[in-house]
Amino acid sequence: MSGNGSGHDVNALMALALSRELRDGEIGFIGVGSSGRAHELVTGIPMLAAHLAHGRGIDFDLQIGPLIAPDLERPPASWFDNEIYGWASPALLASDVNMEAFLRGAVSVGFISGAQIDRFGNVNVSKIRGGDGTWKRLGGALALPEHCAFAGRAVLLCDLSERTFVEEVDFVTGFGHRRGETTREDLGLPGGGPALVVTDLATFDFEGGEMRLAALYPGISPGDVEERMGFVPARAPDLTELEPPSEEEAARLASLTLPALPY
Amino acid sequence: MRPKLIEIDEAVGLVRSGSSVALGGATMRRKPMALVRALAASDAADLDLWTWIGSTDVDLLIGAGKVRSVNSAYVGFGAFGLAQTSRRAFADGSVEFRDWSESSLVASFKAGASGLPVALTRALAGTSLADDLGAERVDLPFGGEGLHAVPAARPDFALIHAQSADELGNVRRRRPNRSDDIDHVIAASARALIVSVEEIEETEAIFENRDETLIPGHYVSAVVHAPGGALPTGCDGFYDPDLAQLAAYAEASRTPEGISAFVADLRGARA
Repeated sequence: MSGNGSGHDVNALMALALSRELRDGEIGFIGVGSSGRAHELVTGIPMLAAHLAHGRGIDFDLQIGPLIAPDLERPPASWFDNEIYGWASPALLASDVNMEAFLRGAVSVGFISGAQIDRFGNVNVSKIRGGDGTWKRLGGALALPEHCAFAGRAVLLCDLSERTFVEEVDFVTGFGHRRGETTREDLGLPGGGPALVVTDLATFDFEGGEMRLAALYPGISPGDVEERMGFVPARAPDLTELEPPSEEEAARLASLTLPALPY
Repeated sequence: MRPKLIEIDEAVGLVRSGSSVALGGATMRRKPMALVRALAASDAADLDLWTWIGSTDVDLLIGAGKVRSVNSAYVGFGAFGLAQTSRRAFADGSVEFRDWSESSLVASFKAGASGLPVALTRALAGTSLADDLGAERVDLPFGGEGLHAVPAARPDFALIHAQSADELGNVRRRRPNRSDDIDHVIAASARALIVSVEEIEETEAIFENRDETLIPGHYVSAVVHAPGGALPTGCDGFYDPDLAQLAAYAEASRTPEGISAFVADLRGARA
């Protein structure tokens, strides 16, 4: 895990901030198709957050790809897919059946990341326009459109960077709250859309469909955050500082060994 | 029922230039790689590929110059990173990539499997994927306002890799199930289905394990015995993804020279 210059473990702070937003009886969906830091963000941090929430007595299940509610007390040693898909769980769904759960609104929270995110929560993971006008391909949409369209709410997990937090995304893989004059209501999107952005320096919520700085990590100023964004976000009137993990929370975090990246 | 068991080159020889070909498996599991390698070394070209989640299958066929377009929700190597040969081809326009989301592509395959020309989806509303796919917003009765109509996938061929089958083409999905794919849907969407398997077993074993039959032989055009036929991707209960082979392929795919040499070696080995 890495630091953000404040002396705190960034992933621990991200997991802590996220864990406070997880509710009893919910199920959160984690995709398995990412690599590198994005993989750590969308798999490791939600697992740590769910583990923290369980420690507070909150009954929050994860769905990991086709696996429903794998036992978080018994994680596999690595993300090597044979181990992940063998993870102790009550069910491994056929993937078309798994998709239907999204479509009928059975996913409470979707955990996603993005190569580009704009102030209205539109997300791009498909392709980036280069300076010469050509497109640079990324992997593809996977189920990101479904997370944004159908989940009760979507949580974006992303390190702050001017290249990521942009005024306008080059390509809309997942619809946020607004693009031009078009809103979720106009489109008939049934899910809640992006509700929370958890970064390495701060968290954001959405007010009136627009991203808003909500809480700063210990020792971080609004200027530190804005310096690493391509747009200036609104600020919540009750902008707070996240309490670092208590001794109990730190111990709880340390008690979970995340599966390692296999490659 | 007539036996369906034939040699791999004979099976792949059914695929003509300009065909649409769906590929089963997903990312690092049960990709029909033996069939893909045979197709890469064949005379077929200008293929329109359909796959739910593409990886080495799509990338190798692009590297071999066989592909005109790709319909998929993703092409990449999962934790191994991006599929570089595919990225180059999509960037320079030599291969058209048609971006789908996971559920809209499932809907498209299911529509094809149901004999319908279109699928309906709510997943693409407001996205650039809808624009690029030419998805049409339609208003329908029974509360169906503002859905997108997208074309049904009805590929000429589907290629899938399974654990076992008998010589009549009854395909068995054996336990343990450690996959994240829609092979049963892709198989049903195609006009002709070619299946490679790890093991050929007696028909009596199929009868005795009928609950594990994924596809009855009636719906199968050809079965090929191809042990290790998913490598370098994994096959549930038989082998894991081969990390060394995957790393070697990802390295070859990184440069045009690397993938050319890989394809030349492949053709040489099959000649």
